[in-house]
Amino acid sequence: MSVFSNPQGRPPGVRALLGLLAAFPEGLTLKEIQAWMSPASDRANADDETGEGTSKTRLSNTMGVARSLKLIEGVGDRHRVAADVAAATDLATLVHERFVATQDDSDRLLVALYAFIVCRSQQEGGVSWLAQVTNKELADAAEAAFKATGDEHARITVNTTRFASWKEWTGFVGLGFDGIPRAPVFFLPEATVRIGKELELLGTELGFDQAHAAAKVIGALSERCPYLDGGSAHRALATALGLQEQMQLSPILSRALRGLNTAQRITLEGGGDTSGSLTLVSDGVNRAQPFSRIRIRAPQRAS
Amino acid sequence: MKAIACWNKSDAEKILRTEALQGDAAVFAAIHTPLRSIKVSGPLAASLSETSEHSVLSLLSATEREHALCVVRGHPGTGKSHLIRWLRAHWNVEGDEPFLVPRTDGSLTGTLRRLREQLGSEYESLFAGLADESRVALAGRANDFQSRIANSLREGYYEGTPPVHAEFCARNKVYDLIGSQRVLEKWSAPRRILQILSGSGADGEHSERDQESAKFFLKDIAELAHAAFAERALSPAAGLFRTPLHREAQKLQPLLEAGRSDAEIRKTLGDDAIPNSLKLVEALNARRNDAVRDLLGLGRHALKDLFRKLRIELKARGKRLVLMLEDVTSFEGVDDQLIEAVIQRADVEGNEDLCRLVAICGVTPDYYEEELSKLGNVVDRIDLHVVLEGDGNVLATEETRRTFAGRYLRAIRAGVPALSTSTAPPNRCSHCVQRSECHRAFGVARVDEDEVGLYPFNARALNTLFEELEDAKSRGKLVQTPRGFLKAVLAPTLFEPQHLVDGGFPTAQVETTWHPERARHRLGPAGGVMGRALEARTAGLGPEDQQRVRRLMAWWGEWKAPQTARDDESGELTFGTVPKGVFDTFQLPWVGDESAPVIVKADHPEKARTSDGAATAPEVLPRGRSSHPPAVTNAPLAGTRDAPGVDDKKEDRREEKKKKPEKRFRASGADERSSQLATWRDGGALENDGFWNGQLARLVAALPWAELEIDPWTQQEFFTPELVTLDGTTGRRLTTYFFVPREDVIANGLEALASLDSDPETSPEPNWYSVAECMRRLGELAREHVQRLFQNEKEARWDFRPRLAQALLARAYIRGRTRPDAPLIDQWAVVLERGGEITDFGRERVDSWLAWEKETRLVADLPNLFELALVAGSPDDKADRRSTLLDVSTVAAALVRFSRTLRFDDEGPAQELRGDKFVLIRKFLEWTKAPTQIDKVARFERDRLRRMLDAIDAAAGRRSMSEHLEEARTVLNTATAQALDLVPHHAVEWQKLCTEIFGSAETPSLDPMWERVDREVEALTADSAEGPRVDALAGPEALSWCLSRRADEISKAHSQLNRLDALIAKLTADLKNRVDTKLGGADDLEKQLSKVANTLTEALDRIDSLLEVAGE
Repeated sequence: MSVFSNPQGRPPGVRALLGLLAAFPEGLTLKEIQAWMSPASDRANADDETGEGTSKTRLSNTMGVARSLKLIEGVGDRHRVAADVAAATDLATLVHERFVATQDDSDRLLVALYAFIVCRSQQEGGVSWLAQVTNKELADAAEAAFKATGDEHARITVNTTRFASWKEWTGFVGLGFDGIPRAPVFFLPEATVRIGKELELLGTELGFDQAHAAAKVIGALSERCPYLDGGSAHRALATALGLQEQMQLSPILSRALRGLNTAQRITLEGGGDTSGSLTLVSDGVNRAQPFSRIRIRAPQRAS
Repeated sequence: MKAIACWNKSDAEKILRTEALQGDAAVFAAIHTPLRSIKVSGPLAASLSETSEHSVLSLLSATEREHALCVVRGHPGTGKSHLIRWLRAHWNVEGDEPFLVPRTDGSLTGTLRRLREQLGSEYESLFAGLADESRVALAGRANDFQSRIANSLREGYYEGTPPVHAEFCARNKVYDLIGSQRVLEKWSAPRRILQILSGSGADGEHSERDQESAKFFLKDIAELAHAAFAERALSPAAGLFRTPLHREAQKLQPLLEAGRSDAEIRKTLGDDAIPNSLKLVEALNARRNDAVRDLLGLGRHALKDLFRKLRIELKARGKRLVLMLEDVTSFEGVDDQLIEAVIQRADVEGNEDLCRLVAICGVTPDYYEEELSKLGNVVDRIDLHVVLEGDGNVLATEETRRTFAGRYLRAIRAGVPALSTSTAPPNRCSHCVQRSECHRAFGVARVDEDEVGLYPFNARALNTLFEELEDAKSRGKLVQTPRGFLKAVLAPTLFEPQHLVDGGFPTAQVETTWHPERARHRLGPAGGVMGRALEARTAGLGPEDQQRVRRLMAWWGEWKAPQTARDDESGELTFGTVPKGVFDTFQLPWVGDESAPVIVKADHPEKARTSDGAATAPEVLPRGRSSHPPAVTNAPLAGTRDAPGVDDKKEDRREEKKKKPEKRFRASGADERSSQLATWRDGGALENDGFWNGQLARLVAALPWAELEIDPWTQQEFFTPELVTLDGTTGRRLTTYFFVPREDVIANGLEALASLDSDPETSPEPNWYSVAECMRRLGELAREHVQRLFQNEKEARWDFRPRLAQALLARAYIRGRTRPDAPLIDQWAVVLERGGEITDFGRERVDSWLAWEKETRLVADLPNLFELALVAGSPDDKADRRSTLLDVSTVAAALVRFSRTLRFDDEGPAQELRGDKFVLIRKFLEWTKAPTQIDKVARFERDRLRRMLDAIDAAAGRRSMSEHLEEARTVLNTATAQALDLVPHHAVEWQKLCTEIFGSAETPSLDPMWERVDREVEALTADSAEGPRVDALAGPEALSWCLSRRADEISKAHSQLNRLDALIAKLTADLKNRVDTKLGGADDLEKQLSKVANTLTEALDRIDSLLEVAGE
């Protein structure tokens, strides 16, 4: 069972499931979970074995996703929140970690497809190309690129029916927007939220408010986010797509860093004359911006 | 490329100020753009083989033509004069006497002067006594004109029938008003009319004269009313009249300020609203011609007579008169005479002495509609109508504009001395060393056989500068005309060539007063994506250079997208389509990026392939800038329908887009949007606020509510379009309003959304992100708003759902639908139960219990609504609710708490919540705030039940109910049967009670209820003896105990046993009473007495024993 083979298992449902189970530390049986989470109008179908078109299917998918992501665990016939999930402060970060670490070929789709989009956007200088492709074309192109990697990505198949679920999970972990009114793209990749969280976590390791070599920070970031520049998935797909290694960061990473810099959560320092400097690619409004150091600002906690 | 000024300022001035060069045929020939497609109509139109200017010339100048009246109709600046002058220049017919009256000489005196000059001294006698040049200044003539107009309004001024509204004018002594000193000083209308008639236009300059009509308008009446209002020296009638006139002027004012025409004002206000003003304007216009004639010293038929005499003279000389009037408007006042003169045909009886006549008259559409068509049957006598559209058809397309500009640029660069009527002007571009570089950067116009460089313009600048032209004074005038093009597109740049050399170009003069205010600030800080890009990219420049870059991008560039690209042919970088070379030439810093992907143009498909012919990339998934051969070769080409089920509308749209011409971006709409939002962001009022609040509501509706952890109820109650509002757009300050602050990110997002709406396919990528960022910010604001709305005393956000769930569960308890010791999922099922009618377990409770139950009846549908608030994810009206899941995270824990304690969570927000659903919740929750807590009510009910069960047990003598009731039945049956005649009413009552308890007196059987009551009593007895006493139960246990008792049956049993006891007691008392009575009255019946006494004694004994048992 994987996340993407449970297309009706979506973030709000999973979050609701975890919330319910958290109220019952001793766990709940499937029947009890169903009794809690099914709408009253669906109670009449409680004994429907197929569960077709009912909350039963959705719950089954939701449970499947939660199990795939190791968010819940079974004890006898009861289900309860996994221990590390109960302790986690941010579900999105935990889910992101799970997706990054997954060994399931189906669930690798989240990272791999995002890496593909990052690479293609790097080639195009932006994400406008997404408006020009159909879902099918995108799926075919991504799958062809996966196959061309010759590594574990080659086993990933891309089916457009999974896109709806992919968008929601990708958006949930803070990598983009779904549902921008009138935007001619099926999904708008935008990683500011995720990268902001990851840099905050990195800050605890590397130290806040200290100038770090940009390459070091981006390198560490790409380990946590393998779809970003220099990350394992990104490297594999960049090679497959013939993307040259370059000092200019991808538009998606550039936008996120520029946004965090503007929001004063990080400070990009240094110019382009230093060795090891990197460059934020132009986003149209702003010109390309070289930098060589990153200072991660200590998060402002609400008093 | 080095910036050079490849023309002289003086040549530009001479050539572009065409009116000053009316005699220069060489210039005229150099800049003339042939009219190849003229709109014609009228009787002669059918004779035209084609609709070119040459055809029109041939038709009108045909030697055999006896008479022709041709009207050239067009808005000011469309080229009427130009066409008429071209006809004059090419009119070469022997025997014709052509007279051209140019627009600049278009006054009556000017016309007469020109005629005089052209005809020479031999015709001098014709002009004797006609309109000599006056030495009186304009101000003096204006006063004279005003005085004459005032006099013409007096009673008895006219012989015979006066013009319209004579009685109205006389009654109100209007002449007194108009002739008053203050009006004489303040009223500008007479001066304006005289200026127009003298050919200098309302603004007093030839250059600005736009064939305005020399008549009175409502604006003049409003001005008159204001001027007269403060006048003291008025006759009583005039003094009275000015009050209603002033009132009407106040009604007119806002519409006049909005630039409305008289017709529009009448439509808006209705004639009834301004009756005096309308009469007055009609009266003045009806008298205007007479006043003008008087002023000019012309008799009523003087002009007509002049032309008649002239035509007789010419006839005698065998000539044909060809009269070419560039603008008839100037003849207003005597225009009726002039028109009458030119419509007189020589070939009709009585006119045989007149020469043949071809008259060509330029008129504006307004004059044609409002004046000419009113002059008798003149329109019917027009032989040929030539209609010039706004652009004069030489500026109809981008290509013709380029060519039009190219002719002027070629002539100006060549210089006036080099121009001739016989050959085309020399093209200086041909020998320019910078030619190729210049033409590549700025583009060319193809003029005749020449390639003329558009420098310092480019095609886009010519187009946008022209398309944005607007009447600066909002008088609704058409300014997108050839004259507008020369004055506002070419002249400002070509008059100042030195700025190209000294690095000041594009100057502020490029944005003329003919360009609307909004366009003159285009791409400023509020100028959308490009505006923001320029702000960021020119941050280090001085304000002058910032403005120059802004102007360059605003007019020379395609500024929808701030994209740096590389031209595939030249390899040159472009920013917003402006080549880097243009920046260099204008000595501006490059603001684009230093690199860009190659743009593969769609019309060069071969460029998408490598030398070996392999596809380098799909068109829609181009390979980008990689220099390596592609590792992936099997990606399908875009548009290849290689698999069934290829989605979707997007591909179809792509196909459609290929077929359609590119949609022209409406710059004016974007400017307006930018301007409105910039004003709002900077603290001003938001124009078009309804539209923008609607846009905002759309974004708010699309927020990811589940991610924001805002439930669907709250969303639907507090984020409706009525409540979502941009700061400053409503005067109300209700706390429930979702006020969105004046922030850049909001303004940018709204503007980007409008851009996406106008053209989602081509709206640039930064707009998508602007909308996304705006939505992210709106999400934050929405959360803060909810936090404020639901803030409780601990300053935490109050979630109504747990509290509501608890209240609904409490309601289910008191209705007997469930109880605290039931499994929690069963309790939960009841909370969401529709209807949830009270059960038998809920009836017959202690009063406070029943009072609570009553209070909860108003919310029958609340559980159903509540479920909506729990839907996990955004509710979709179209989705089947059955297939959704509920988010009971907070609710489940709250129910656990409540079922264990019977205590409600905290009281909710400090402020009172509004919104329909929340008013309902508040009402519903009111009962949970009652001083009597639910556990108290439970204890009351516990005690009541306990007392009843004790009483039942006691009544039954600690025996089973069946035993007790059976014995009572036997006794009562016996007693009532044996003493029926003594206690008949008790017998009836017993029959009734017996039926209630036993079903039927004949075949009695106890209701199973009594067995259950028996068990309740037994359980209570056992409880008292061994287990925890009921009295000690509290909270949920007490409530559960109560709810597991059939209170209705206990009450019923208790009641029936009470009645049974009461009946027996009354029967005993009555029998005793009757026996005493009977015995006292029967002294002679010893035997009978003994028998009765024995029977009664026996019965009483048994009753006594029964009563004893009953504890009485």
